[in-house]
Amino acid sequence: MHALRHVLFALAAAGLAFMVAALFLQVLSREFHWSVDWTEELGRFSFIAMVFFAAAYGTLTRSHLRVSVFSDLLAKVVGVRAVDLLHTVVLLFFALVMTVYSWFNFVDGLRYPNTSPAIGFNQNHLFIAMCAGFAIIFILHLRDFWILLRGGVLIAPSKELGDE
Amino acid sequence: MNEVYLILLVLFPLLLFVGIPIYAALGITGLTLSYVTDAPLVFSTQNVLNGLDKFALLAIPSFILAGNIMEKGGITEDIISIFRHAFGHIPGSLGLVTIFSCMFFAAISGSGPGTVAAIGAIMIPSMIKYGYPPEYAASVSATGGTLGVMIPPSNPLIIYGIIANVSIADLFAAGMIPGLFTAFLLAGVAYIIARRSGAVMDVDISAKRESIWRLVWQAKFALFLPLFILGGIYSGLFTPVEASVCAVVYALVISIVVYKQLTLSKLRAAFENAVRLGGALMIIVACSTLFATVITLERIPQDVVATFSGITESPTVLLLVICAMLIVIGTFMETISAIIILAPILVPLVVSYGIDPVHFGIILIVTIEIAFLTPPLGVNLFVASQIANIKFERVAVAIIPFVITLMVAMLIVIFFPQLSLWLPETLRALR
Repeated sequence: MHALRHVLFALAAAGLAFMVAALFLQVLSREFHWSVDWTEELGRFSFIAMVFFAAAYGTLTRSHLRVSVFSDLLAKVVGVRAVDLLHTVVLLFFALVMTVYSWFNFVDGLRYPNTSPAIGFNQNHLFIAMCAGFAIIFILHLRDFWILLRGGVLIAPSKELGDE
Repeated sequence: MNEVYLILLVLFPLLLFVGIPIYAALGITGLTLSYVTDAPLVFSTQNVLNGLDKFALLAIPSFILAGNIMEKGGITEDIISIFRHAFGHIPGSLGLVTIFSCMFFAAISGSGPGTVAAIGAIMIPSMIKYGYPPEYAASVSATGGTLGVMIPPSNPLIIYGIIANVSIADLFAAGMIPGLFTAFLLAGVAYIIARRSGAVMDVDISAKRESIWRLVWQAKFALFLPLFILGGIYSGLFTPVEASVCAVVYALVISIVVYKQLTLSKLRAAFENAVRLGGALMIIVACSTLFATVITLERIPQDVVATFSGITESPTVLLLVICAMLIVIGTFMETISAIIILAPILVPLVVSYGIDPVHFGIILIVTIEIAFLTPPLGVNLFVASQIANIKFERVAVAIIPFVITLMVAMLIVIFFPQLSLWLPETLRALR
């Protein structure tokens, strides 16, 4: 998990850094009249890929936003494990559906390309980032499911890298 | 009640209430709606990716990253020191210093809890050290955080602008006067409470009276940043998205070259925070597109407009009803999530009553921020109570005068639309 956390962080942080660099180059190119027309596309594509890796990273660090007031009350009544089990089953199902259908979209996208005007990149390739992100989310919830089935409890990892 | 309404009114709230992450609750509801309305799931899932393919969204992770770099790079301390030197000689003035520091930090951060964490981490221990009650220190900092989303740049306003199809530059300009007005109102209340408590009469001895020009010159790089961001947008030098990346580059350069405080590990921590928060927010935006598409196809906003038309014809009454509803909903839901879920339904409604969507955007932000200061969710309260190391309940009581002040500000914004609309109209005329 430690290695996966580092890999996911590196992928998401690289996406963010590429996005910032591309858009800053866009400002410079306009001011200095450089002929660079691909910066917006590169920024957008980096951003989209970053979001799916960051979502998987959020699952790993349990930092997704949720309304926890009622589930905390529910956990006091039925127990934390029961609530965690319910969450894990629902999220497993959702991640599986999203993984499968984003894969279908990726395969369809190979047959019917949607090419970007500046870079000439088939934008349907971005479905592979979506598929990978949700596949990792699925695997992480599958691991949680296994822990819960064996009678364990789910523990949130430390918030910042290097604190583990 | 047909299947669509049953899913929207039963399944979606149920998923939220049992604590399913908001992105998954939106996605599952959207997929279920697609299934029952016979929409192909392959096309439905395309909406998740298409939801992210909006250029304006790129500003949000960039502003979060810029705010984090500034915090780690030592710029926050410089901002606080200016206000501390300006007001520190007045007895009971650290509340003022906190509110004005939050106001200034808000102009470079765009996030409420981010502002509380950055300013509160320095000001709360400082106020406690000088004899201010911890609950006062925590409540002033939590309240100051609300300015983070009103004063531009503001991440919730960017999201609202995309959903309502309104100019983000106009929304930023519209938030400026209500934001400054609210800051002065809150500063006054903070000062009165500090003086009336009787506990705080000692002058902050660390604050020497110095020439204001000397202080401004010392902190010129920190002070220039909001002028650079907002001036760049309104002068047409760059778009709000480009402004966000220029803010990142500017923060990086001055943190490394001028402040010399940004180490590699601090930079990694700044990226980590931006990835975690940015990812959590953007995946909600992505999944909400699936949800919003089905809502639009099923003509839900039109049904809501028809229902409200039968209740009242007065735009003011409508706004008051919406605000009351938003305060209740906002107590359970994070700001951006609430905007993503509610704006697609509410914007067509208010526009049908002749209310300017820019004006409504500011009302929406102010109202949800009031809710954000109240239990049970109140993220600003959680952050402030953690820093002050006191129980959440004590802060929740101490914050009541500030919540009442924000409600007064909300009513003033509702009854005086020109507070929001004058500046964007003037700037548009100048361009």
